[in-house]
Amino acid sequence: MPNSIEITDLQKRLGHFVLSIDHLQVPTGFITGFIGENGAGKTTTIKLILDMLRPNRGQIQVLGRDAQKDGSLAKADIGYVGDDAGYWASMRLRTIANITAPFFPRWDWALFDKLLSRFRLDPKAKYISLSKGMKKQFELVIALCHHPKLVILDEPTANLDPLVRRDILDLLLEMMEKEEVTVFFSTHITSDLDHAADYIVFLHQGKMLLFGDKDTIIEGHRVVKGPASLLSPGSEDKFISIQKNSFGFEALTDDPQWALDTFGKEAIYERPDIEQIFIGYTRKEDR
Amino acid sequence: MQNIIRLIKADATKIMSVSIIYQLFPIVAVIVAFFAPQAMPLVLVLMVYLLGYGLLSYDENYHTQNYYAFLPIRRSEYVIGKYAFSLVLLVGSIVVCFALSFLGGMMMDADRISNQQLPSLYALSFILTALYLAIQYPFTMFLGGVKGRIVALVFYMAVFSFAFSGDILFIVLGWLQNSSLFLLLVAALALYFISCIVALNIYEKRDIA
Repeated sequence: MPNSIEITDLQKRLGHFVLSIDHLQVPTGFITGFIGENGAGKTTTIKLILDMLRPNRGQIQVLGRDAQKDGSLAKADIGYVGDDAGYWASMRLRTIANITAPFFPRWDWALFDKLLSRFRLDPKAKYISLSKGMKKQFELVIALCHHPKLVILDEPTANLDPLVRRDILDLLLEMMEKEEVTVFFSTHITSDLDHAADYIVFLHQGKMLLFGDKDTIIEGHRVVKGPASLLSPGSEDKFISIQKNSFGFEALTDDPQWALDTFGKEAIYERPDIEQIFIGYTRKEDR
Repeated sequence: MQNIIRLIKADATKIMSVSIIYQLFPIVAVIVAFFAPQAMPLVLVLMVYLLGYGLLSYDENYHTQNYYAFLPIRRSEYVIGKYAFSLVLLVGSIVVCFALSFLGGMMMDADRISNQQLPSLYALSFILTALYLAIQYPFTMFLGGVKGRIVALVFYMAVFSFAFSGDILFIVLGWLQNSSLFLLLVAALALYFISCIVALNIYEKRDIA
């Protein structure tokens, strides 16, 4: 099955910041988590995919179409929740939907009403009167009501309380189960992706550090903990990142077998979470 | 074409929700049209600036561009939609205000523009507004909402307000009545379309968010 998003040799300069992605594929039918610290370039990448920004170089294919030349045709199948929806603040929710619906051939009013009801949003309420979490919920409703094939979310759960975050993630997972939807989800809250994501992409200072199947990446890494006496200059260099203190060391390796062969039962080996892997790779990059 | 019509409807809906001033100004325009039509060139330019150009500027300043970027529309459709909305607004306003000015001329004594001068007056209004927008839109597409608004203010206050105060209006109207009004209208419309092409080229290349 072709990928929903394919990025090749992408470069975008914004002032002193340079985004540079050699190759990125977002597989169809899965949730891909796009992780990076603040300012890593996640929003820039997403805006390039949606043709809000023009690249200096490179090619982006979205649902089989060139994002710059035919991106508008692809957008009928894309749902997007960004950092700022751009809705008119004093407009009622129903009016926003009335303006939006004609642009999407597959707009589903029954689904719109159902999702508004689920989130307890009043269609007569003005957008400006909603709380931050309610705004995000409404933006997600608008993004999903035309049965998109690809949902792109740019930090949709940032600054939201755990209950609202859970609601949003649960809805996404339900949509995935009912329809073949691809989700591309950028965040710096890695815990949101620990149980939801199928694939993960790490972005740091405009560069892609890692991409792959989440479970494979996690299984392919270990956090190794032990006394400092276990370390030698040769072994330190083999770690992706290492932290030492008076008690010992904690390091990340992408070769669990090597670590086991080298340190044996003297060290402790733990399966890392996404955050630990991400921090490890960014520390390696910053050295 | 369908998307352009949808965008025009979206802008018309926006006017009702953006600010009370946007809703009051048409009322002011019809009152001026009835009682003091000689002010219509300035009023129409200002009204179309507020309602047409103002919405473009609003899009730039309040990140409404993010909303349009999510819609399945081409960049060209967005630009053409803005130009089309302003033109529809202008032509519609002229039709309504002309009728009211004519009615006012029949009902009131004349220390005001005569009904014979109304076609020239409204032709002048169309020409000025079309020229104003033809200059303003590409500037805003290029500079963004904040800087574009400063340019808009300079053009409006310094050029049109000064040029058409006092007796200058009647001199210009007299000249228009002796000229080929149709050709001047066509020229203004042609400049408006050329401006649209320039704006399209600017908008195609720029980052919009």
